[in-house]
Amino acid sequence: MGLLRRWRSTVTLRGGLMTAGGLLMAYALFGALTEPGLKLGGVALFLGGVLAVHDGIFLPLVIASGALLTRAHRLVRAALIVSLAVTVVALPFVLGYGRSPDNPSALPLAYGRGLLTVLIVIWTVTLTAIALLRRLPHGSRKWGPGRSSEDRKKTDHPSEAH
Amino acid sequence: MVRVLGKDVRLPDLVRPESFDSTLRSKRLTSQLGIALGVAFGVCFITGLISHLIQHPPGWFWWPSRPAGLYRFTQGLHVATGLTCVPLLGAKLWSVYPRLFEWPPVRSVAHAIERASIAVLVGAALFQVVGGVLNISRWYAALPYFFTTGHYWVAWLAIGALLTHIGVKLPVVREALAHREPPTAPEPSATPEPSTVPEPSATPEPSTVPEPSAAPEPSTVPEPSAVPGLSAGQGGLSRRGLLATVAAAAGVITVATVGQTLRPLARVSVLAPRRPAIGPQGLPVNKTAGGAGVVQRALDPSYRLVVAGPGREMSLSLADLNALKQHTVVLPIACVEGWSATGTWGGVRLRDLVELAGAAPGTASAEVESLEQGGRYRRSTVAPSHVDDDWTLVALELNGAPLHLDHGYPARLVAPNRPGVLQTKWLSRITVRTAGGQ
Repeated sequence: MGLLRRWRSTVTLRGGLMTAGGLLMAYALFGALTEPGLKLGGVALFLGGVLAVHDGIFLPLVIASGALLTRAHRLVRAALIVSLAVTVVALPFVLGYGRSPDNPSALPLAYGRGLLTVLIVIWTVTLTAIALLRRLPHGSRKWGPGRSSEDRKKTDHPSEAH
Repeated sequence: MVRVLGKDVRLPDLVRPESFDSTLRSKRLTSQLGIALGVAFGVCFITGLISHLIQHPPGWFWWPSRPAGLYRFTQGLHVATGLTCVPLLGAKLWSVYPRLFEWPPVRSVAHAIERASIAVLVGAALFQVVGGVLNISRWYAALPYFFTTGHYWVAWLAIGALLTHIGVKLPVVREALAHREPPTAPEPSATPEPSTVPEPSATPEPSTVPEPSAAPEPSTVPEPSAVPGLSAGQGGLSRRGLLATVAAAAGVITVATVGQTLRPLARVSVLAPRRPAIGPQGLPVNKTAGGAGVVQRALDPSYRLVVAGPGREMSLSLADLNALKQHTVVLPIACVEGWSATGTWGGVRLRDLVELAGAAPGTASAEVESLEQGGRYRRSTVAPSHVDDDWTLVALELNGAPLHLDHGYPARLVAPNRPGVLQTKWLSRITVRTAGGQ
């Protein structure tokens, strides 16, 4: 029967993926253990360190900050998320620990100013978009501030009803 | 109990899955982010593996010399894709974070194995992305391991854990993506996901509504009567809104950095770790002559390039090299760190030198050595496909002037479709080997 065959193939696919994944992890472990000059302890330290810092400090702080923004416009929330992501990427460049005096071609830009520029662009676009949305007639808002349930009953936007 | 923003919160709830009451979290969201992240990791893994194989070629591996800019593309893609993983991975991990506090933590042996594999996956994914960002920012001191081998082996770990994870979650993902409209009640499933169910006491909405956009959103009403609360579902982003936000973040990061390899965007990419035109002779440098400790030997007037082949061994001064037939090629330096820059190189074809040494270029490989005393990249092997290519030069000039010391004066290798670390600088010796031995 087709259904049975499909179920069997799913089970085979899942089993295959898990087996292959397990073998690759074993290969990684073997490779890391036999790699000269790797500093395996350092790998383990960094692996546990990023996990602990992300799950124990970074994400709780992000979630707590998000919980304080109960009344922020959704575009403001979006802009905050984009700003955070860009800042995470830019931070090592801004701090500039990788600069070396004998190689000015590495990290040649003013990254603090660069980050500021990107953030200004993000927030200019966001605030302009919010201002434009406020001018739109109430019913045609898709990204604007949420409508009351009254509004929603009157004009339910088709694209929002998934 | 404590009062937070006018709401009573029981402290134990703060560390239970139910206390994360953002109605934005759903299996559908997690599945979609997971698929995007899986594709990104797949791209990084394949391009990274290519880079590794070129640098450490096993017997079966063959890498062509054309198209000349292929490695520039694959490695530029590797780094650019890796950077887009910052918002993707962040959002993915946020969407499943409540499950970290599952209670009881372990239900069975299978459950323990599943959770352990997820810990490996999350750790390895963060390891790769954070380590990669630190590496392109050259903050090597922050990495307590040797980057290239660590990044390589943890890539296998990450991809293995990812395959296992896909195997485990396949039915959940299929179910979450099967319906255009998510079911209105919490789905009965083999792996219940409590995070999608908002805690009744923390939200005025009925707990059976998992989709924020389908529910009334009181807090977005700007009137002061709006109900404040911990529930992030109120007035927050919709699922599509969050996906668009993550895409926007990835786009902004890409535009802000990809100019390090995509020249037209160089001026826009204000966060690029390199700018293709900045450096001696208008080209960036990775390792300086001072850093490599070769300044004295490179400037020594008694400098000679030794070319040893099956037929004969020659010792060529810079004047001898300049007296040979000169050629000009336009080729990029494409760094493993993702930047690339094009230069106009002048010098002697490697195949001409190989012929002078008494070997046939089509079958000969060349081992080139630097004046450096040590280091992982002091020597590299040029495969027959590259030796035979007319564009492979022992370069003496860059952009119309003799090589800058930091670009490999007196002579360096430049070949098409080859990582920058293998474009050996400050050449001291070329050993030509034919396929049959030597």
